[in-house]
Amino acid sequence: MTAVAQGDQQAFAQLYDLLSPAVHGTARRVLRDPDHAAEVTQEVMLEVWRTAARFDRDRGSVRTWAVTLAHRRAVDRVRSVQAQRDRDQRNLDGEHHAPFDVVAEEVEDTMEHRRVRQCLASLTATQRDAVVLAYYGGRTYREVSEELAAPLPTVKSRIRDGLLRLRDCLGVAA
Amino acid sequence: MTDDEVRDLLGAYALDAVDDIERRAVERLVVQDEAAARELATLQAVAAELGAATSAEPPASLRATVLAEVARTPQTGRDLPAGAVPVPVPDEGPAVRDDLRERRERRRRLTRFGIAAAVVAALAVPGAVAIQQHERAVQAEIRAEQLSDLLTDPASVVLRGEATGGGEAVAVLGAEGAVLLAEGLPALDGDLVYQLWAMRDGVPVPAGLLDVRDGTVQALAEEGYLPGDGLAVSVEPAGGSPQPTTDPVLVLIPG
Repeated sequence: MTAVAQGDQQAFAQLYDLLSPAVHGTARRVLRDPDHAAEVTQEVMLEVWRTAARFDRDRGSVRTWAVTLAHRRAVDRVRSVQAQRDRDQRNLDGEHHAPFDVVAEEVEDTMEHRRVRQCLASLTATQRDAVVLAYYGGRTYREVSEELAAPLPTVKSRIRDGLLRLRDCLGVAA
Repeated sequence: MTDDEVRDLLGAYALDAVDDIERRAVERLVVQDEAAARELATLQAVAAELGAATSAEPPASLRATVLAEVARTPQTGRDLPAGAVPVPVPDEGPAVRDDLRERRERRRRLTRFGIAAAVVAALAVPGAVAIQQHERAVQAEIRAEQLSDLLTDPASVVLRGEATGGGEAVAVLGAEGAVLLAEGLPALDGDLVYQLWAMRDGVPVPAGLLDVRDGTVQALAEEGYLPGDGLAVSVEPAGGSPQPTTDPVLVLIPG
């Protein structure tokens, strides 16, 4: 990353190979469209290049940074143009009736993936629904509250408690 | 929204599940609240695990596209080359007349200051994230809106650097003024002070004395500072000096 910040394009190529699957997978999971996901991946990897010097390792890993950028951009896309259409489509899919399964589909069966799945399984059903709908579904917590017919404060605390439980299960240090 | 209400949104923010107004409220909170910033960093790391667990190879053609884009995309906030700071050249005349001696001595000091400035400037790395940590670390003596005006101005430049002898600082250089935030500065003897300088074309202009407490200071440079200037800090005799009498401990100069 230090080399990338100093303009080393070869180092960036290595970083691309390291980060792009996580970036692309995140965008694809949220957008459910390979072309949009590829565009987001391109945008995020270019932003990593452009702003590498600003990266502050005290604030977390490079991968966390890149995946956070990818998710933010993917969600912004979902919410702009195709927001309503997609949501309607998802409601028809009935995806939120089985939110845990959305993690499993179309995804490489990596060890990392299995670990996250196991940890998601350790959450309460209501925590898991809230976290999965918000993160993979790109919903706001207000939308989550409507879909799960739960009060807003309840949804907020389910999300936070769910994430903290995941932190313990995954052993995330940050 | 109260701070507690905003704090309740940290989890939803980490999942990008808040609206734009809430997003900004959270970003304001973590700038001021170290505990909230730490919690958010953890929650974001957890959220990123959820994303990374869905890893999927992008189309193979994308790699070449991105690398080609990278080859023609400039980076922001790269280290400044040492030559970026003009250094005054001392007079090399064969004879030194008495009435010139003081001027030469002053120039010699300025030159050393300038060279040190160039060296330290090369170490200064702009960091939008760094500023957040420093804002949290210092007490709110500068009015919050002065800082937020500076930070939200797209023309503002944020620079970060380490002080010689210890401590780190962030400078926000704007069109209306500049702010210096520093922490971890070594304590000085009672007859010495930290003095702030606006650095203009390699020449220091007095910009006030720094009220450093427990190694920490946040100062607004209004007088002496002009847009385009950098900031520097040196240790001076109590009361300050019209020109620096020591090498700067800190120099932050925009590129």
